[in-house]
Amino acid sequence: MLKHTQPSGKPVTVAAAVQLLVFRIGGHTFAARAEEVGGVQPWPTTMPVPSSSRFLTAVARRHDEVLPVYDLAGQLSLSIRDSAPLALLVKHALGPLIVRIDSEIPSLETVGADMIRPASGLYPGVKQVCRLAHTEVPMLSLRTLGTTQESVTA
Amino acid sequence: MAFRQRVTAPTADSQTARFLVVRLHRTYLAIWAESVRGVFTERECDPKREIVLLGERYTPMNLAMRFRLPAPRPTPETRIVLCSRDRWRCASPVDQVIGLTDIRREHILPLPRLFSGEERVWFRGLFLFHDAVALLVNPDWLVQEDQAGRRLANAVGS
Repeated sequence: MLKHTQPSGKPVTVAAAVQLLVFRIGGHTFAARAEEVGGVQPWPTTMPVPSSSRFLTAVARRHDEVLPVYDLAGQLSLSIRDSAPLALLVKHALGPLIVRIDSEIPSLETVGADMIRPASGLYPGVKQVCRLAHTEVPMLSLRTLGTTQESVTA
Repeated sequence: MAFRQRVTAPTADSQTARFLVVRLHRTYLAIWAESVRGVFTERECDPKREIVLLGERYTPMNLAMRFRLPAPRPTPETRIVLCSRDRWRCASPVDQVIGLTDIRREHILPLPRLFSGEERVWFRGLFLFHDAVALLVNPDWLVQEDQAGRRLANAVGS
């Protein structure tokens, strides 16, 4: 929150602006803080990795970098049937990763921080919603996907 | 590609490690070449039976099963890879043998940190291989798993 002072000298509190990326997974709309996204690109070729980590079953090449592929649709109990899905490059706390999203190009929205409120029970792992044009959109914390807060800060 | 006799593949130098890259389904696995003793077709040996090569016995093992992958389905590309480490000997089918490759040690990357499960024990890292990625099989884990599996099978069978 930012504090502004009116000409009358009386301070008013204005909600800070938050930039969001709005995208779709399996036909459902989600939002995430734009600062947690490193880019959007066509879905790359992926290679399966035998793994016991939940929702992590593949890697993808990006130049000389190897990125884990996080099955966000699987976590949300959704499925992407798009023939040309996109990849969201996520700036995760434990290193970059990619998630698959629908082919619809994501949009950038700016909202006041007061438009974001806690919520639960919408989708697995979703703890906030954001009010966008009279609609409440589930917000994802991409930075901490697949981790507990403790393991990120450790 | 089929090595019909014993493979001896010393590393080129201390900065380089040599691997046999094999494919299981769509996954490329890299096995330290120094532990590979031979590669055969299914016509040359039955993967379900013990194989004797140069007087040493290689017990059947299913590498795919160790990684919880479906067993390879026999195709003309299927190969049986013979491996040894100390006194341990095993023979496992793979979907395809891609070939030997020398990798400089600094090009071996750790698994991305987000992988935090058993795969951190299964693989010692990975490296870029053509357009794909090869996962470095941890030979110590493979030996322990195989020996534990055999002990369990013997206990159930007795």
